[in-house]
This record gives sequence, structure tokens and C-alpha cells, in this order.
Amino acid sequence: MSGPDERGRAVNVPRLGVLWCPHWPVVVADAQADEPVVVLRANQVIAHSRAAADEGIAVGQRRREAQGRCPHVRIAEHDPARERRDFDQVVQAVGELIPRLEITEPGTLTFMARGPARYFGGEAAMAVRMVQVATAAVAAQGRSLAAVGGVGIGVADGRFGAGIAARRSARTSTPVVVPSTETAAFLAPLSVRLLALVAGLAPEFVHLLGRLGVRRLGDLAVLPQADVLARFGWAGAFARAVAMGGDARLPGTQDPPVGLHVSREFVEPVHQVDILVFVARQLADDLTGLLSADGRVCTRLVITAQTEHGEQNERVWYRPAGLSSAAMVERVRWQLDAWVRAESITAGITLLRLEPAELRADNGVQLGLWGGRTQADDWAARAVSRLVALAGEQQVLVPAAQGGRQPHDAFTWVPALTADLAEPAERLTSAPGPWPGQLPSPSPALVLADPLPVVVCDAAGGVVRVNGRGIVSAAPATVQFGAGSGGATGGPDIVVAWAGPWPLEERWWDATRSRRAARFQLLTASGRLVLAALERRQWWIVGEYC
Amino acid sequence: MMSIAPARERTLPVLAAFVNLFPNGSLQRGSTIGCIGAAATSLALAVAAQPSQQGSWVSVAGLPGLGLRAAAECGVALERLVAVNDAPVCVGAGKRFSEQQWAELLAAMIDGFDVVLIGPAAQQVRSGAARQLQARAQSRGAVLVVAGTQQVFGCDLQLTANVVTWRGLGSGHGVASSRLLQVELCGRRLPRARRASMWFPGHDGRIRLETPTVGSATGDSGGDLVALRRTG
Repeated sequence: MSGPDERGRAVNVPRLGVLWCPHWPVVVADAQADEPVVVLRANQVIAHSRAAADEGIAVGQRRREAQGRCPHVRIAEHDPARERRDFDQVVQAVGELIPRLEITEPGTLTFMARGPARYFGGEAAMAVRMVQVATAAVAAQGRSLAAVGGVGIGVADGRFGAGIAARRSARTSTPVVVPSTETAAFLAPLSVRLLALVAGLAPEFVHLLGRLGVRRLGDLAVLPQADVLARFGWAGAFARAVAMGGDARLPGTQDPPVGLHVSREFVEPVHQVDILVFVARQLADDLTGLLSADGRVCTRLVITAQTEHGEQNERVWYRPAGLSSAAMVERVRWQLDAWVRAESITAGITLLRLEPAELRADNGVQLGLWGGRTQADDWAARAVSRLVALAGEQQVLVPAAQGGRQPHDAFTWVPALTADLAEPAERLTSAPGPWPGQLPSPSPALVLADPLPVVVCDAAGGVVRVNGRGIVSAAPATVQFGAGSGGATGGPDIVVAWAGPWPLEERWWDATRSRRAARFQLLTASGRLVLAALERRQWWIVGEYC
Repeated sequence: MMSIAPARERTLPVLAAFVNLFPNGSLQRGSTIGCIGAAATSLALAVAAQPSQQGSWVSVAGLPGLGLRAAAECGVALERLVAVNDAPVCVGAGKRFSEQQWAELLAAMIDGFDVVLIGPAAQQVRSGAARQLQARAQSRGAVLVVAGTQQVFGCDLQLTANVVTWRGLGSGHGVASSRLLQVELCGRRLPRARRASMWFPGHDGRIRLETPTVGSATGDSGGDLVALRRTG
């Protein structure tokens, strides 16, 4: 077992390097140097540029507070999918130099330092080279790190020490390499608040340490291990271990048995990500079933995909809380999406493999008394898997935000199996608008993916047209609903009020997918309000307010 | 006049605009609520909205055209919404479910979700199966909300929504922004139909009563609106 022994010497702690792009969401939001930018999630600042920090903005502030400090700050929306996708290019660039990178979160990479350091002739040389590569990869996307100060890289014993070294490095713009035996001395004068910021411990626990007079990591490290464990439980023992420069592994983690993995080979190469995601679902279920039979959960997972041409994409994913089957599937989707988007893939995929790299005893999840996961959520998750067994995976759907101008564009349905029901935030965070031409609320309660053809005539009986400048030929007077549209199929329905046309011109640059339409709201004498569209000289009902 | 409200575990909450309309101001678990009229779909969403916001899961069967933006505007929490459709929505061969399959699916939904919204396509079950499903809902404590014309499900409460007027729409200008609905509630246990006119939604996007008073169908608009219940 790695970690410090009783006298405080670090035993067998791996040398780790951490590459940290500070405030990555701000970089993705295309912040310019000297531009104050903040990124908000749930109305709270999660990242800010340097110029914003100079004005007094800090992580955790509310929107109003941030605007109060700096009225001209640009506010960008949090877009987790894009952050992950764009960070993958940095991962690829660094991955050319170093195998087996671990993506902790978008903006943070962890890797074993010993091998690469030998290859590049020392840890300092390796660090300088990696900063160059990462900066170049960001610049290749047309973005600049100037707004956040630059990439930080730190090398130290254990994950916690390396993470702090990377943060210091980002502030000073020089790589920070802590010599092998001096990690504890490096950490000793620092505040215990870093335990919450970097090691992910509960803020309440850190606050309690402060109230008890333990303000520096050094103060915590000199306390006897037994007393810390008795007073604070496992969280305290873990905090003391990392404060001494030990490995920031949660207690109870273990290496999996050699050769434990699940994989699927495809005789016919697969070209669609969706199919692979479904296969991944089965694999993930198998793997979690295997592990949970022993009461264990996977905290670090290696996902490997190979193509027919021998290209290989391998990523390591880490989640301290443990990866559920749904979380594994989501990570497969992220990884494959990023790989396909990078267009470095030339053939269909023939192999998909999930391999656990770190296991932990599954101590279960306590159902929350307020908020959090409830019993209803558990029942619903069970019901969803039962429905899938009955109806088929394509038939059981959950909403996902998509963004778009049309009523049926804003949200779409995705198969429930491929979504993580316990963490809906990313699925339902829509692409930041604006979507000019989107109709204001209320929205139609029925939207027709296959619109119904109708005939809309003016008072003289001619079909109403709209010319290229958006001028209506005459006011709509009657609607003739076709059979199957639910209305009276006999005579035409009289239009008593109408509004429009609202022109819609999408993807004019793409000859095959472009479309031009004019939309109308038509209120008929029978009380139906429909959303109609005129496209290619044909009227369609696209939605109904019912 | 006092009424003893049923225990909270036996009921689900309703939107503020419906509190005076529903008996005891809540949805009785195990009951079936029909929604018909010109605004049936919105009404069904509004019935499901408050339980959904308070942590219940809502499932929708056989309503492939459900507008998700409209659902969100009515107050349904999209993170706790699951749909089963037999129309092919994604790539791959879509299939039509048989009566038997719909009955099995609805039974599974009743087991797992607090509110089950049944659209027209899912109403093709036999009347015997429908009665079994309603008995199952009673034992599991789910609420069935039937949108559109009801043939097989016998409803405990029937909501009828008729559009009185749309505001904001002119002849060639404006945009429909608010709708005045006349909602009528009748049911087996209700001696008289209850009526309320409400803005659905109002100009601010909220659902609220036009006037705070609710009159009964016979015209006496007294405050005595608590339904008599059989006791003992």
C-alpha cells in the first residue's frame, strides 16, 4: 500500500505530473487578453479571466455580485460538451509525447512523470516541452491563453502535491518541479483550504480544521495519525496523508487483478458512434456487474478503441465517486465523439475495450434527506431498464437540449439507455443561443416531426404566397385541413386571426441542408391555434397549441 | 368548514391555479384524470407539472409529438421525464406496439413513476386491461393522466378545457402570447361540476386564475367548495 508510513516518510509514492490550463471554460469562451470574462453555471462564477480577477471577481460569486464589481464583464455560458471536446485536442497533442494520460476534468491532465522525464532528459526539460506543446495546441484552435495567464505544469510526489505545484506554476508562468523528497516541506506552509480546492474534500471539514487551529498543511501533518483518524474519520486520515506528501488516493483503493477487462471485437467495422455506445452500455453493465459482485466500484477506467487500420485511441478517465455504468457509457461517448470530430480516424472501429485501472470498495451512496438522489430516482432508473427490456432501446427516450430555431429543434429525444439519468445537467444544458427567429413562448404543445400538408387560401380562394422579400400575397382567410390532421375534414376552417410571416433561413451555405420557410400562427374559428409554415410553395402544419 | 386533508403520502401536489379546483387541493394517488377539450395536452402537462417539480418522475406513453419546450414552460422538470413511443424517432426500424405490449409497458410505467401521461397512441388497450391498469395504479399510488378523448379508461376526474380567447394575435401582426381557458372539472365523487377560468399561460408565462373566485356550475359562487366525502 502506498502512502506515508507512521513517521511521515512517503513510501512508494508515484512521481506525478499535472498539466493545468487554468480557467479552461474562459479559454473556450474565446477570451481575449485583457478582456474581463466570466463563465457561469447555475448563476455562479466557475471561471474567470485575469482581467476579471483584477476587478475583484472570484470563483463562487453570484452573477449580480460579479457584475457589481465589473459592470462591463462579458458573461459566457457554461458549455461542458464544448469544453471537453476542445480540450481533447490538447490531450491529443500531449498524448504524442506521453502515453496514458488521465483526464481528471477538462483543463486538467495527470500523468506518470518518471518515464517521460527520463526520455526528455530531466523533469524540468520535460515540463518546458509540455508547456510548449499544450500552448501550441491551444493556439492551433485559434485561441489564446493570454487571458488566463498560461498553462501551468507541476511535478511532485503524489496527485495533491503535483496539483498544487501546477497551480503555482500557472501563477508564476514557470514550471514548478518539487524534488522527490521535499514534497512535504513544499506543502507544509500552505493553507488547509487547498484540501477543499485541490483534493476535493468537503468545505465543512476544512472549515472545521481552521476553527480548531489547524491552519496550515504542516500543522495537520505533525498530528498523530491515530488521533486524526479517531477525530475526523477517513476524511481526516486522507487529508493528513496528502498533507504529508503521500499519494492522494482515497482510502480503500486497490489495483484491479491483472487482465480484468471487458471488450468486444467487431467482425464488420462499425462506423456509427450510436451503435458503439449501445455496445459500450452492455460492456459497462457487464463490468459493473462483475465488480459489484465483489462489492467494488471502478474509480479509474481506461477506454480503448481501435480501428480497422490499426489506429488506436486510449484515454484514462477518473472519477473519485466511482464510475457507474451510465457514467462509463457517457465517457465512451465523449471519447468517441472527440475522436470522430478530430477527423484523424480513417476506418471503422473493430475493437472497444473497457479496463478498470483502479478499484475501491463500494461503500454505497447514502440517499439524501433533502435534494440529491431520492428513492423516486432509484425506482425510475429501475423502471427505465424494465421499459427498455420490454420496448427496445430506441423506443424509451429522455429529453436532451439541442438548441435551434424551430419548436422541434430546441429539445430532442435521446435513448434513455445512453443518458446518465442521475446527472441530467449536461444533457439539458442547451447550446448557448442566440437563436434569432425563435418564436417567443408559449410554445406549441404538439410539434409534428412529420408536418401535415394543408392548403391556406385568401378570401378570393387563391393559395397564399410569400415572396422573396417576405411580403404576403394576401391575408389568409381559410385553412383546409387534410385527412388525419384531427380537424373537420369537410369544409375549410375560417381564419379569424393570424400573424406572420416570420422568415426562417437556415444553413444557406449548405446546398443540401439549407431551408427557407415562412412561419405563421393561424387561429381558426373553431378555436385551434396552429403554427404553419410555407416552404417550397407548400403549406404545412408544424405545431399546434393545444 | 373544515375538511381533514388526506395524508401527504396519499396525494400529489397541484399547481396553485388548480388548488381550488381539485378536491382537497391535491391529486389523489391512484386516481385517473382525463383531460379533454381544445387545450387537452397543455392541461395534462400542467397537471403533471407540480409533482414533477417536487421530485416525482413523469412518464409519457404514446405522445410522440409532445413539445418539450411547451412542457418546460408548463413547469414539467425535463430531467425527470421519460417517454415511450412506438413511432420511429431515432435511426433504426420503428415498430408499432400491440395492445398487449402497451398494456405491459403501461404496467411497468405505473410501477416506476408517480405520474403516467397516456397519449392517444397508448390508449389502444382493451377495456379489461385498462381496468387492471387502474387497479394497479391504485395499489402503487401512481396517477394516470389521460390526454385526449377517453375510450377505455374510466376517469375519476375529468378536466375539460375550452379556449375562450387568445391574446396578442391580430390580423397579420402580433404573436399569440396568452390564452384564457375555461376549465371545467367533473367527476364521480363531485356532486357538481366546478369551473374556473384561468390564464394559461398569462402574459408573464405563468398559469394563474383569471379571478380568484371559483363558481360552481349552478352559479352560486360561495366559498363553500369543499366536497363532501364519504366517511366511515
